[in-house]
Amino acid sequence: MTDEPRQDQDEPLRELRELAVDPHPSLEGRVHRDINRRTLAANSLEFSLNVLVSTAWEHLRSIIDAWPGTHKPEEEDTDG
Amino acid sequence: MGSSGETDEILVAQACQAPPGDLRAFNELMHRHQSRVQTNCRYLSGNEEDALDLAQEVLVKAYFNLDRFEGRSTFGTWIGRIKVNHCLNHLRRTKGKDFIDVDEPALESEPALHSTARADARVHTRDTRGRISEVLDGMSDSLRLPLLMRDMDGLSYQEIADELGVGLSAVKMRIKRAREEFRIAYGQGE
Repeated sequence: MTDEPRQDQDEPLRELRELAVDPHPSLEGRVHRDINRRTLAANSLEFSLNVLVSTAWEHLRSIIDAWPGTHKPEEEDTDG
Repeated sequence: MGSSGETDEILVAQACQAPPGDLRAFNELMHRHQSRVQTNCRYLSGNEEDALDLAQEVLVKAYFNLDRFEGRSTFGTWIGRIKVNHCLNHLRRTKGKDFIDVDEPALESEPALHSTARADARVHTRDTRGRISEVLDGMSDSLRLPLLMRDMDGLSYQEIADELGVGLSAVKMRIKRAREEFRIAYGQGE
């Protein structure tokens, strides 16, 4: 028998709780570049989609306007 | 914005409201948590080279999901979950789907789950962090992952079981065994 306190085997490992590596000096720069790259890509995609939708809508409108019977005659001046 | 006196939760709110390109609040959050994220990625992946890539991906993922942070847990816990999920997915991709999916009692006595001898033999490094690294790197994924998720990240047994897709009793047993192996191997290196 010993008087030493018995270490609880189910006790969390303190060594792991306190373990920390120094962050890599390039980590922040890499994160910034990645965020900026993804933001730029998302903005570019959004812009491209907007251009595509606008172009398609304009094209559709020109087809509808050119369709026989859909052309509205210019309103005459009805004053007087 | 982004002063060090703010709580994580306030910084998250500031980062969400910041105009595009303004990363000051997020930078402060990153300063506070990057060491923990990189440490965990290092030991969960068991690979020094992958750790930097994984830490970068975790922080970027956190940034683009900041608006999903609801404050029900601390920011540290929240980013810890992203980190664990990301590292486990990485391991599944690199080591195969079944790297940890072992939940049969018969398999619990498999030699592959025991790594004491290997871990013992590798404990040569004198400095504390190096010795811890050698012990952890000498452990099998089946023991190291639940141990780290519990003792480094503070996840509950049930959360670990859910993440790893193994039973609750298996998780408890592996963590107990992993702690024993760690203490033996680490103690012998002193």
